Amino acid sequence: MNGPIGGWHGGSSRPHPVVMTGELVILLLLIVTAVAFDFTNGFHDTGNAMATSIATGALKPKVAVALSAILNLVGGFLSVEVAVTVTTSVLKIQDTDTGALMAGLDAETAMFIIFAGLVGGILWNLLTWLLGLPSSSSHALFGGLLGAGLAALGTSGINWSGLTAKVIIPALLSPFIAGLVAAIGVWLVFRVTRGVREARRERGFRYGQIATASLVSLAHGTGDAQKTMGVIALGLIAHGTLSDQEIEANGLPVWIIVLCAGAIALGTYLGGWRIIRTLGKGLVELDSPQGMAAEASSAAIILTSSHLGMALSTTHVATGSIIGSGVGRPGAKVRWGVAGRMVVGWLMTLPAAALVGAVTYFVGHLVGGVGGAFLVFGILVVAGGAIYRRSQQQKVDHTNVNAEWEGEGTELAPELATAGKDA
Amino acid sequence: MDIDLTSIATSTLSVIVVGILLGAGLPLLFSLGIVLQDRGAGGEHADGSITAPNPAARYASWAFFAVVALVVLYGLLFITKGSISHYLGIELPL
Repeated sequence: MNGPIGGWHGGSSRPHPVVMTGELVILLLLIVTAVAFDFTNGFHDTGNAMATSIATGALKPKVAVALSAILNLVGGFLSVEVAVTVTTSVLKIQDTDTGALMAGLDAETAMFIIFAGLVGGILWNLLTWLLGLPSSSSHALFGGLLGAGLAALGTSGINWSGLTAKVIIPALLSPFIAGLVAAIGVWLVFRVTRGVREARRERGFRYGQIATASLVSLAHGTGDAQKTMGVIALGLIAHGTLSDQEIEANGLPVWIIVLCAGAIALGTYLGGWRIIRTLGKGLVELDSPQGMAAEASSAAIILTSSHLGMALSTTHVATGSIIGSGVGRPGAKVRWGVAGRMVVGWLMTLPAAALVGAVTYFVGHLVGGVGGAFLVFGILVVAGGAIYRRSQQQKVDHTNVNAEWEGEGTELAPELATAGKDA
Repeated sequence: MDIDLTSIATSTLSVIVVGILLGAGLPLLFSLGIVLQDRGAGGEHADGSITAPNPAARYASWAFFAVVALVVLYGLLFITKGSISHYLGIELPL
């Protein structure tokens, strides 16, 4: 596919038409995959903001996801200072200051690393969604990039200290920080309002819940849509269509922002009902004061932590807050079996996504070029389709998201071999 | 590997302190507002006692809610000041 099949490359101010080369095809597949990742990031994380409001009935499920989607969209547009250096905390493929591609790295290798990393992230997001596990989308992306980077460049391509200091340590700390803040908040709330009439308390805190959940949604849009924008920007830099100086001077091309904000909002609107259910019903039985304290803790931490020198994953913070709201409330019960399985999921996220990323890179690289890129894309579509089909056998949607939670563990056993029997 | 444990510890500590101040402090203020609303409304309470409506308590409750709202608004403006300056050209003195 090296001949000039024509096509004008949109968004560029160049006077000459861009030839449809193999690299351009790979770039286009990469962008489609990045947008798909952004979409999974949206529905994977709806629960972080809205699970508590849906569980307590403060918002109807459809209203909750619509509100969250709009705020994610707004958040996506608010992120001007885009994380063009998104890969630098795990990989050494771009300059940590400017975002430019490292010298000596050819465009196709760089694009394949990003592409395979995205595939790893998407497949892990889909699998954890199937199991109803709220795992971090950022970790899935970092894991995928890590694996693809290892496969392409070996251990020297990995930013090990960044991985430890910016990804692993914050992930280990964040549930405890969020849990502590939420536990203190819940304890104070119940202590102060114990004389208040139940109906008034429930109603008052519902407003607080909606407000705090909205803040979490907005924060999610500003933080997470940015990551995909950064990935697409890096793909364009690798391809040579965009330079880090242009981004520095004019900001990102508007179409990237529109695409990413739109994809994350659409994903959020579809709602990852399986994860919403685990977070809202599976971990702790929530009432509205608890939900409000949990979301206030999440919002405060997510919105301030990056300004305080520590970027924390929305998912880890939200889950920690919800558990904390169960710990801090006298007499509340936390299903530690569910929490335990979640933690196992978190620990597996980096290595599992890395494995998929590495395998994908090998496969793509082995075939190479446009054929390799299409093969990788095909694997993604087939695997994603299989996971979706499995999910339809045990459907969770807005109609049954709040059904009574039975048992101590998660509902869908990881032994997918038992597929077929309906819940 | 050069991992700066001191800076990790410092940022962890500041995340915890700010988290508790905002993430638990604002719910506390909000709860105080809810308590004052309940007092202000009067009527029959859970323990069977009946009190008269108390307008002062009701006004005070709105003051608490307003403080919470202002802190959140300030926080939002602080976080989005970069975008506000980019899109609208307004430099917020935050």
